[in-house]
Amino acid sequence: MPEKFDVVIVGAGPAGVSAAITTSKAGLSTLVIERGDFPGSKNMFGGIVFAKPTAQIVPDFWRTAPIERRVIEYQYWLLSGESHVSISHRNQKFAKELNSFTALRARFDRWFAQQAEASGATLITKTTVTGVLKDSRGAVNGVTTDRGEVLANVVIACDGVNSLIAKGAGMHEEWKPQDIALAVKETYSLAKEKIDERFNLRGDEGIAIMIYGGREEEFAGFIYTNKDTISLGIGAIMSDLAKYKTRPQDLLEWIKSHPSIKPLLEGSSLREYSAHLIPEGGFNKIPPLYGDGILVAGDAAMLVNALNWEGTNFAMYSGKFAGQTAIEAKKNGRFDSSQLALYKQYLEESFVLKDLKKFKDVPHYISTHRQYLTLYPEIINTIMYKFFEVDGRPKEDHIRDMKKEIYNRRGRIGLLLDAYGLYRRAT
Amino acid sequence: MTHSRRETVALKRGSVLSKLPLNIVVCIKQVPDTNDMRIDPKTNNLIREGVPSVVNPTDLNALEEALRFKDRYGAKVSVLSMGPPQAEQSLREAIAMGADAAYLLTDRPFGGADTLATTYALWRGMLKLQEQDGPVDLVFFGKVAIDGETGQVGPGLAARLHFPVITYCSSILHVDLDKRYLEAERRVDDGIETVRVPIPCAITVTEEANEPRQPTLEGLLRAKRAKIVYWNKDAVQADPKQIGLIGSPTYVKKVTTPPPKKRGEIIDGRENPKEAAKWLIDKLVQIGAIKRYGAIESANPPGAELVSNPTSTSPSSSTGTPQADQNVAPQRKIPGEHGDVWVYVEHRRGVPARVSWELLGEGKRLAQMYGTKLCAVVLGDGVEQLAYESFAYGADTVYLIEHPVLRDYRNEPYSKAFAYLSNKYRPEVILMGGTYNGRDLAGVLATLISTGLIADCTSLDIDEKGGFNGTRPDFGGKEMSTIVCPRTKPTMASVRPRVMKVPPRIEGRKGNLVRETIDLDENEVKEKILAFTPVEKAGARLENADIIVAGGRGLGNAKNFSLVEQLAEELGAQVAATRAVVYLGWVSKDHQVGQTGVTVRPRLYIALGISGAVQHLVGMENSDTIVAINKDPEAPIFGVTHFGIVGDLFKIVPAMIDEIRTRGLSRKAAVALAK
Repeated sequence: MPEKFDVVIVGAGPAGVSAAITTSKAGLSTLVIERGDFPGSKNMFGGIVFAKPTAQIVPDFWRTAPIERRVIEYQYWLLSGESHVSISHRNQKFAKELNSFTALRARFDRWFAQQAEASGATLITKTTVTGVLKDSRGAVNGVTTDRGEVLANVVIACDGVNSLIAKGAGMHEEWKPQDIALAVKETYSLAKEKIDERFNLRGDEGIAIMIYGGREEEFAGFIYTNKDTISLGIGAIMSDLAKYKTRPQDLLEWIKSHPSIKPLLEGSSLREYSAHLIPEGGFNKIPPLYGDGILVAGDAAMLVNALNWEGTNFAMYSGKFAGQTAIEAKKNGRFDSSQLALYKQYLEESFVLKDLKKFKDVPHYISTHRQYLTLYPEIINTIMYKFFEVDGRPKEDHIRDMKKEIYNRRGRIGLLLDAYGLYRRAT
Repeated sequence: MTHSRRETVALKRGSVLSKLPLNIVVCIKQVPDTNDMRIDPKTNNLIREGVPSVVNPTDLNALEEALRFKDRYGAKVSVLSMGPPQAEQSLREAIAMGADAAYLLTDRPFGGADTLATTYALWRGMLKLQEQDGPVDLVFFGKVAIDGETGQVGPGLAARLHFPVITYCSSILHVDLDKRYLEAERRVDDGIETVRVPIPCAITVTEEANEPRQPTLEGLLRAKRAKIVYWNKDAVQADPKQIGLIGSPTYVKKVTTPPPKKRGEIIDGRENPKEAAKWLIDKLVQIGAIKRYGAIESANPPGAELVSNPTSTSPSSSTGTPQADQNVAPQRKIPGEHGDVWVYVEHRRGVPARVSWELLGEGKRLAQMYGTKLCAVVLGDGVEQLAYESFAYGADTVYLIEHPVLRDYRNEPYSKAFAYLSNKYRPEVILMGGTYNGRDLAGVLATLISTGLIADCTSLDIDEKGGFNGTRPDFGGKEMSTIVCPRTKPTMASVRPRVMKVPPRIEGRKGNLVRETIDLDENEVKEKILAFTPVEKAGARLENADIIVAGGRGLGNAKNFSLVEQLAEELGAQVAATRAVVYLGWVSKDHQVGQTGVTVRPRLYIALGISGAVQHLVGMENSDTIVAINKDPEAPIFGVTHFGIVGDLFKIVPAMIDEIRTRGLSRKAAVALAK
């Protein structure tokens, strides 16, 4: 007879560990099963963790967490051929009251998992969960692994974008290429002083840059500063990569050699290369989140806000809610889906599902209205160029040129429609 | 008390199994994962920080072998380790695999132990275990730890326990618990021995023995909760003078990282491969590395400054022309009184191991520095001829013991005979080959005569104060440690084969032959050799090759590998390959040069499409002249290359072949002509 736990959590990423800390603190016997050599060894993200959700799980995390830099400045860039327009916001409030920080997953997830073990959870690594066990009524009551079986009252699937568990439990099918982004990331070593100087930073201050535009493909890029490395990455929707026959590394090469970005990496050396799938289908594509004896959290549940690059904090919150659901279930001694439906309620009451619901149509809308990604960045870059250009002609002429540029490229009616369309879906 | 428990179990099982369950101990070591070790490019130091720790790989084979006994016959398997508290993790892994109990010798004073102090501490731990669980039947070890690479603790501990030991065991063939013996195969340099030893015994296990099992989930959970027993020095009643740094006769005097080697001449052949090929052949002809077939062979190694190995001062650079002793370069003399330098002459029934002569060459140099004699130790039966051979290779004195019991090497009688000689004549230094049997003997002998042993040296020297210095590579050559043994005499050192050169052989050279006798009784020797299967030693042709052409993954596929063969044929060379190529199946394993293959030292080594992983470099970097052709100018192979071309080998090699043919340097053509 295999051993039985109150909760078996599959995957020691942010969702799984958040769930584990929650349940083990409440005294539930908790087992976390991770397939990597150590938590974080197989995980990847762009680079920032938000402070609030982390503090909800580990209140004084900043004392011991392996923080790379505190983000004090956020930038958005719109690229065009050899130019970019940026909006940036730097605020010392971010330094005083931590909003987000950059981290390296290999270190952060390991630390995070140690907090779960300290709360009493058992962590097993190098073990792959291959499927779920079901009782005679079809309720999930454990998992099978490549090393044997283990029983549980509740299984929480936090095994990432390609969740074998959720699939095995029949909760969702293969994602569709239009709902999945492929992200590639490179990390470059550069002396801390160089990074500080290049990005105008001091001490452990850091910067986060999000980059859009300049390509036919729908993509988003990012730059994050770590202590002595810079993370540069780019993600694009799978169906787009197929449509344009672009390889993700081509996009990465392109963005690396863009004249606005190349100088930022000058003199650095490549340290790491990684790739990862991101579920970006949004609210409309969220699979069932619970079943008899099972809960799904984090990437496995497609809880990612692609617009705002929020994956990690959604994972943490959903993991915490899944843990709370398991605690309530244990109290009531019931683990069927009607009891576990509480999880969905928690999520709906929180910003997690509220945000995703609010922006639910934006990803699809943008995908089907390419002008937002291709045309507007270019127009805006041209406008800015004309605005700053000094060529001996009166400013009035420049303004006329700018107007002409816009109307020629998109037309008055198109502009109005685009503005309204986006307004309606995003507000 | 525990005894009575075991007897009850035995009674239940019936009288035949009266000794069951077996009491098995596995000694394991936690080591840094050498695959993850990097050199800091700025400081040239090994980066130790953040390197994950693992259970020494062959220790897992040892544990697996113990667990198979447990599965088959029933056994209590205890795991014993010494190390810092972090080593607990390794013990938990052992429990996850199926071990029943785990003990960690951990205490500050245990730290800094060499092999002698380590075997002492483990021995104390073993005694404590026996006190607790009753007599131990079997002790397993991995064949060698990947960090220290000495392979000495197993045989050393066996000597303290008075257990027979099977080192380098590749397979346990037969176990008879009724008559209390087992039969096993052990690897030796020239083949495979089948041996029989009584139980209790010690066994060091190679990676060939088995595939270590994966822990089950149940095992992992059990390991999480298991209690690891910590023992400090008092718990095992260890004599503080015999443990840790204080109890270690040897200590590391200095650690150096080999300097990035000065680059040889490397040209860019990407634009004009024909020119590059011509340049290379010019260079090789110029230094005499390749020559017309039939021309007199006398190679001059190029650029002596490229040779970083201090042993390059050893006598003679060529094995071809005889040289007299007086040709040896004058050595600095070490003041003071010193003992003689001894070399152990390893052989199989009178057939010498080449390393013995290599050591006589090096030993000569040391003896001259000490102003003492070079002595050879010959043990065997009907092996007087080896004494005369030893004189021919430079020995002044030969200590010879002949006895029927000594016909084949077995560590028990050999170590006994050797210890007798050493105690009687008190040498300064004892050198033995770092072969399977050389290390087997060294580990036991050092324990018997309680002295320091420096294992697997690649260079030897004497400091101003007369202290013997042995320098050895750690972590597969990423670091070099110089080790001394100032407090005990003699200093023992095992020396890696094929690093030192064979000195010239002087026919009819005479010396002082000292015959000794010793009481030995075959009935008292526990180990019996049942059979010996000589193996055409993998890569024997490579080891003796004059010229080697080697190919790496840069050749792209098995078909392209024929380019290596073509060039080899033109030069009358042997074909070699990297591990990757062998792994891919392009050529057979006996062509593999490197850490897990053959170590070679040809006159000319031509590396085609080989990037130069350190595991390959350690197997060939002592070659007289190294040539590399590779498209990557940053390839590490260029760091050890005397002549290199950056470029497309598919263009350069055919151009070389053309050049070789037109200049009449083709061995293939010459052979064809002769026919």
